[in-house]
Amino acid sequence: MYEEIFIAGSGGQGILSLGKILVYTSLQEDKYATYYPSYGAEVRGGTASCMVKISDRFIYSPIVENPTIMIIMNLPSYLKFVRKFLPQKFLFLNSSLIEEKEDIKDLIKNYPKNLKIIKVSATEIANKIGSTVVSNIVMLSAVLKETKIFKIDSIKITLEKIFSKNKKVLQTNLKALNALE
Amino acid sequence: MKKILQGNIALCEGAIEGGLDAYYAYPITPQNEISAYFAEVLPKLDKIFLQVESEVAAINMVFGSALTGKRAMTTSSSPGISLMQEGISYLCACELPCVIVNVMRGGPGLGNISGSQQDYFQSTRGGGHGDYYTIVLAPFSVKEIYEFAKKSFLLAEKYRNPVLIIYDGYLGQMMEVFDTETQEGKLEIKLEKDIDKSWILDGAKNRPPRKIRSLLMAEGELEKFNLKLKEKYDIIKENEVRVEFYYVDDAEVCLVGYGMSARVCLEVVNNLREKAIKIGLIRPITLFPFPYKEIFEISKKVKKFLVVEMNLGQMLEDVRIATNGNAEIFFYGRAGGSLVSADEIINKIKEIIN
Repeated sequence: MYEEIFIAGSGGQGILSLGKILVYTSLQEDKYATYYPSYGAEVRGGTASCMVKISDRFIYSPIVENPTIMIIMNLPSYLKFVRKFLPQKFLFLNSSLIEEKEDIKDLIKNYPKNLKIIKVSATEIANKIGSTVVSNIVMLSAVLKETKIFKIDSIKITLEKIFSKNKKVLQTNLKALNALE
Repeated sequence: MKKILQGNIALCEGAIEGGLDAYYAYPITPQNEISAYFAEVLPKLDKIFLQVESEVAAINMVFGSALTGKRAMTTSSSPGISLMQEGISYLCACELPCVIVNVMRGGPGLGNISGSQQDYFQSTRGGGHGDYYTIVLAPFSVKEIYEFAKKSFLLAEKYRNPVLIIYDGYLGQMMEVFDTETQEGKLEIKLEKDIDKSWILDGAKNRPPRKIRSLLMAEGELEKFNLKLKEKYDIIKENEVRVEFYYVDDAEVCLVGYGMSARVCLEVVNNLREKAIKIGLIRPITLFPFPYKEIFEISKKVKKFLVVEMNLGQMLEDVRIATNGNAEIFFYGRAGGSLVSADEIINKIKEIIN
């Protein structure tokens, strides 16, 4: 197994948390993993992105140059990053906040790789569950379903560890994780 | 046991494991996680944590603690380390063991907050005034940050000299899974005799007072002391060089890189070896002492070197000195907080081979 994952959205959407959840879960499944956040003067509402690599062997560079999976959670990140590079296998778009552009659609049409685009109305679904902030976990459930990178039970264990002190938040997250079942 | 830690937090855990007594620092990105972690943890362990008013204060408090034989540490990033140089010079002059960590960011000036390796010269050439060196360790993984932090106090005490651990902001910020059980990344310090603490200033109760100072005004006194320091540095050069080699024996081109650059180089080496292209890597782990002899030996066989750094050519000069005209030296570097790219290194190698 070797996956390079690029995640982007706005600060406050749980972009960095999503990356960390993936890395923590790799420990459950006995994989090597690295996580690298884009850090800066960003605050809630600014752009946030992170890079995650998961592999069966030691990972040399934590920097994602050729992503296999991209998860894009808002419009500014869609415009900024999808124009710059496309993933090898899967592109996940949060359709609640992303209005697709013709030039990017053309880019994808002419892309030689067999790229699968998965649109998930993550923010809407999260709102229905009762909390906008779990849109990242709704997206994660779509990612697991499509890519099978981790077992859903392994993610559950990670979430239980992270939210061990707050059962209510844990429940909302678990609901989000099962949102697409 | 497998662990997952951020580089900066691994440094904290390693330092505590290594017997840290006191930590002084002033905040600066990209190393604030260190202060945040210590602020929480050190008071509970009955150790000293102080967020001080400036980097100058931090290094001088390290000086004070080190005088008493305690294990003191400060951490900062490039501009903050520049402010500390006067203190580091005094620490070396007074032969005080301590650990200083530079989580490097882009420069000069305030630069930016992205990771870089632009402080190689500052780190390996003393940094402040006078004829002195600090021992410089350059970890390249979260595990090495942890292991080096753990053993650095012992190394500093062995030679009564400050140890500088330098890594870039990328390594500091990244998280990584690592195995604490394996030998990989461990720093073994050989001790021929017990650590000498007969010099520490701990109150002259029932003994004659001792004196530690850096002002040596008597005729010939300073030169004598400089020669004594040189003798120490020569022993360090003889005993403490650490370097790792990957596929150098039959290499057509040998990459040279440390820290984060070495990680990207290693990705390139593995990638190209799968395609039967003969590339090797030399990874200096100690930057002072630098592996001059080891690289010289390799330059008798390998005739092309490509130095890769996140600056515009600093270790490059040491590789030139080491190879002493034996080999052709090429360079690829990115500055200003940009990361070297595996694809760009491969392109550069192709240029060199053809």
